[in-house]
Amino acid sequence: MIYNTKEVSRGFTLITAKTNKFKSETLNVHFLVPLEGSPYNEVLLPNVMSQGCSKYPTRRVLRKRLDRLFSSSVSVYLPTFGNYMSVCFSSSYLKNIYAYDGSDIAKGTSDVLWELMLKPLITDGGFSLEYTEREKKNKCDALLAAINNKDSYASNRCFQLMCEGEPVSFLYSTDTAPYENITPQSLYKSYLEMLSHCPVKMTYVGENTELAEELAYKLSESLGEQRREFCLTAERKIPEKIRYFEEKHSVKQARLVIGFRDDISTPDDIYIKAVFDELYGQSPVSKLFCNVREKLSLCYYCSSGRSHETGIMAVRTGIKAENKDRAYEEILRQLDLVKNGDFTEEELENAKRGFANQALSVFDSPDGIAASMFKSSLRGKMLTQKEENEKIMSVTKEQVAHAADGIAPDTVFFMYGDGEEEEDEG
Amino acid sequence: MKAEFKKIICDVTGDICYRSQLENGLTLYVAPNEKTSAHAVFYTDFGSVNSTFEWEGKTHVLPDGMAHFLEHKLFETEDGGDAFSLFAETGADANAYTSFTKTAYVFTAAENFTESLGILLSFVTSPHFTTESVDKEKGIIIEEITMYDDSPDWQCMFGMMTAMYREDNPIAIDIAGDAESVSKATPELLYSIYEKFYSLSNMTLCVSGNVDPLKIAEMCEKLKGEKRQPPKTYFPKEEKAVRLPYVEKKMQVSRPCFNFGVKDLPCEDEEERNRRAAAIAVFSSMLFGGSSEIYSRLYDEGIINKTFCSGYECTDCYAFYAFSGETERVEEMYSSLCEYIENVKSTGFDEEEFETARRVVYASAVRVFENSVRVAEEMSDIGEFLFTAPKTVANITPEYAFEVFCELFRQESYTLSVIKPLDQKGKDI
Repeated sequence: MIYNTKEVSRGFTLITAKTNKFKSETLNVHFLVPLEGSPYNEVLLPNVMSQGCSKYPTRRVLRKRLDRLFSSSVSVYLPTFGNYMSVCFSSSYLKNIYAYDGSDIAKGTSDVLWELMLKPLITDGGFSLEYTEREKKNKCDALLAAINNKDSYASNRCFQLMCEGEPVSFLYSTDTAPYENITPQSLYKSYLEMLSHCPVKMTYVGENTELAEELAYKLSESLGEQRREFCLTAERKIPEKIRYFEEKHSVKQARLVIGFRDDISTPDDIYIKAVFDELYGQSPVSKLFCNVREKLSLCYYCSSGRSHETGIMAVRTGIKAENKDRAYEEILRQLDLVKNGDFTEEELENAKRGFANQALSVFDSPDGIAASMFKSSLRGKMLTQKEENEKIMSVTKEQVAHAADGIAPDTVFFMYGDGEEEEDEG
Repeated sequence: MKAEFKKIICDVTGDICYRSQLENGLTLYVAPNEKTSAHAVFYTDFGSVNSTFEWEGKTHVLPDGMAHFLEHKLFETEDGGDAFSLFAETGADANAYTSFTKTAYVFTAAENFTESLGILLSFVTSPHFTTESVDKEKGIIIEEITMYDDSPDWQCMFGMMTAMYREDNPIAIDIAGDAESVSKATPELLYSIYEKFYSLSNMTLCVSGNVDPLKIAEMCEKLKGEKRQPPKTYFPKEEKAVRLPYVEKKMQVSRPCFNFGVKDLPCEDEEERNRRAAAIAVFSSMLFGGSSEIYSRLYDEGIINKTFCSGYECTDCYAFYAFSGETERVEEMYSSLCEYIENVKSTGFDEEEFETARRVVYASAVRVFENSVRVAEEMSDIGEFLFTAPKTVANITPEYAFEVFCELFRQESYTLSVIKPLDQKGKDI
C-alpha cells in the first residue's frame, strides 16, 4: 500500500492509498464545517441532497442508477472531528474487473458522485421544497426517536448536560425547533457557503489513484480557492465539581453514565491514551470488566469510550437501580488505581497488544483505511502500519498513569425505572 | 497429518477454501488470504432451539437459555481464571454468541494467530464449572436479559416470533431464557449438556486470513473425539399458517415500531435452501429495496422512513421473511405492502429490474471476500456455498424467483408485531 498526500490547492488536500488488495474502492470528499455557528442547515443537507440531484431528480432514479452500477453507494453523511463536522460525500464501488457486462463502474460511480455533490436539484433559488419539508420532518422524528434506544439515550443525555453552552454541545442536541425554521433557500445558501469556504479533504483507497487525482484537480478548480484553514480548538473545560442528574423512565434496567474531561489527544499522546482506554474499560480484561462485571457481578456491560478530538470520555453501565452507588464507587476507584500506577506490567502489555490488534485490523477494509487517513490527516501526522505498531508497543506504565491522571469526572447521569410492567396484548 | 482437503474455488473472485472432515469428527473450513487479520469461528450446532431432544433412547427437556448460559461459562478455566485473560496475552479480540441454532466462539487476530487458535481449541474443549461461578454468572445473565427487555427492536422481533410459531416451539422463546429458567443452571446440568452437544462431530471450525490450512488441520487433529450422532432435537411440526395475525406491546417509544413477518417452511436440502435464499435476496432487492416502487412511494408519502428494511432468514429448522421499521401509520404501511404484493403476483417481474437487483446481490456476494471476519462468519452459516454464491446469483432466473415469491407470500403466513408508545390506544388490525 502506497500512501500519498497532496495539497491540491489552499485548504484542499488529497490523500490516497494505492492498493489492489480489495474487491472494492472508496472515494470520499469531506467538507469540514465548524460547529461554532450551530450548523443545523449543514446537518440537514445530507438528508435533502440524498433525495436526488439535477440529473437524477428522485431518490428512486438515483438509486436505480447506482444499483445498475453493481450496487455502488453514493451517500452523504456526517462524521465529526472535535469542533468540526464533516459533510462527507462518500462513494464505494466494486472494481471494474467484477462487472460481468464490462461496465466501467469506477467512472460511472464518480460521475454520480460529481452530479450529486455539485449539481443539486434547485428551484426558486433553493433546494426542492418537497424534499426539504419531508426531510425536516424525518430529522425531527429521528431526534424524538432517540428515547427508543435507552443506552444511547442515556449517553447522549449525559453529554448534553455536561457540555451545555459549548460548541460541541451541538452534537448532542435533540432540540427539533432549529430544524423547523430551515427553508429551501437558507439550506441552499449554506450549501454554497460550504462549497466556497470550508476546508476539503478528499480520500481515495484503490488502484486508480490517477482517476482520484484528476477528479481532485477538477473539483478544486470548480470550487475556487477561498478556503478557510482548518483549526482544531484545544480548549479544555475544568469541572469545578461533579454534577449529578437523574431521570425516571419506563425502563427495567437502570443506566449509569459518568462523563469525564481530558485534554484533546495530540499525535504524540494519542497512543498512550488509547492504551489507557484499553486497560481501563475497553476490553474483556479491562479494569472495569474484570471488577464491575466479573468480580462484583453488578452488570452485563461496563465500558469506557472517548473522543480523542474533544477530550470527552464516558463510562457506561446497565445495572439494578439499587446498585448505583456501588457501581459508581468502583468505576472511580478503578480509575484511581490506574492513576496511582496500581496495575501490573502484564496488564499493560495485554492492553498494548489488544489495542495494536484493533489498530492493525483497520487496514483490512477500504472504509477503515479511508477513515484512518482522514483522521490522521486532520491530526497532521500519517503513520504506516509498522510505525503505528511501534508507537503502541513503546507506551510505558508511567505514561499510562500520567494519562489517567489528566482525567476528571464531570457529570453523572442516572436513568432509572418506574417499576411498572408493560401490558402485552394479543 | 491425515486430513484430506477438498479445494473449493470461487469462479468469480478466485478466492479459495479448503474443507475437511477430520477423523475426530470435526468439520474444518479454511479460506486463506493475504489480509492483516485472521478470524476464527469455532461453533457447535447447539442453539436455543435445541431444548427438547432425544439422547440414548430418552427424551430430555432443558430449561430455556441453557445454550447461552453454557456459552458464558465455557470461558472459565480450571485455575479459576478465564479464556479472555489468555487471549489478552496474544492480543486477539475474542468473543462468543448464541443464536437459535448454534453457539459460536470467535476471535480476530492480527498477530499470534497460532497461539490464539490454540487457546480457542483448548478452552472450548475443556469445560470447567463450579457452583460458585455458575451462581455468580446468573446475576450477569439476568442483567443481560433485562437490558434486552428495554429494547423495542428486540421485543418487537420476539413478538413476531411468538405470533408466527406454535406456543411449544422453542424458536419463540428468548435465546437467553428468563430469570426463572436461568436460575435452574447448575454445574451438573451444564456438564451434562456439554457432553451431549459439544462432541466434535457436532462442531465446525471456520478460519479465514493469512493462515496455513495444513497447520490448522494438524492442531485440530490433536483434539480428542470420535464420530458419533448428535442428539436428535425435537421440533414441533409447523404449518405455513401463523398462530396469530397480530400482536402488540406497549413500551417507551416515540412512535410505533413494527415487524411484519412472513412465515416460510424450512427447506431441508442445503443446496436448494441456499439457491432459494439467493433468489429471495434478488427479488427482495427489486421489490422492497431502496430503489423499489413501493419503498419510494411509502417514503415519499411519509409512511416509512430510513429505518424500513426487510430480509430473509433460513436454516434447516425455521425460515421467515420480515419487514421492520418505525411508522406512525402502521395500518397504511401494512395494507399498502399487502396490496403491492398481490399486485406483483398478478403482473409478474420486470426483467430489467430483475437484472438490476441481481447485480446488487451479486456485488454483495463478491464483496464478502474483502473481509476475513465476514468470510469466516458466512462460512459458519452457509459453508462452501459462500464460494459459489456469486455464480449462483448470476444464474438465478426471473421465472424461478417468481415461483419462490408466489410460494412465500401467502396471506395466512403473515403476522404483524407492533410496539406502541405507552400513551397510545391499542387497535387491532
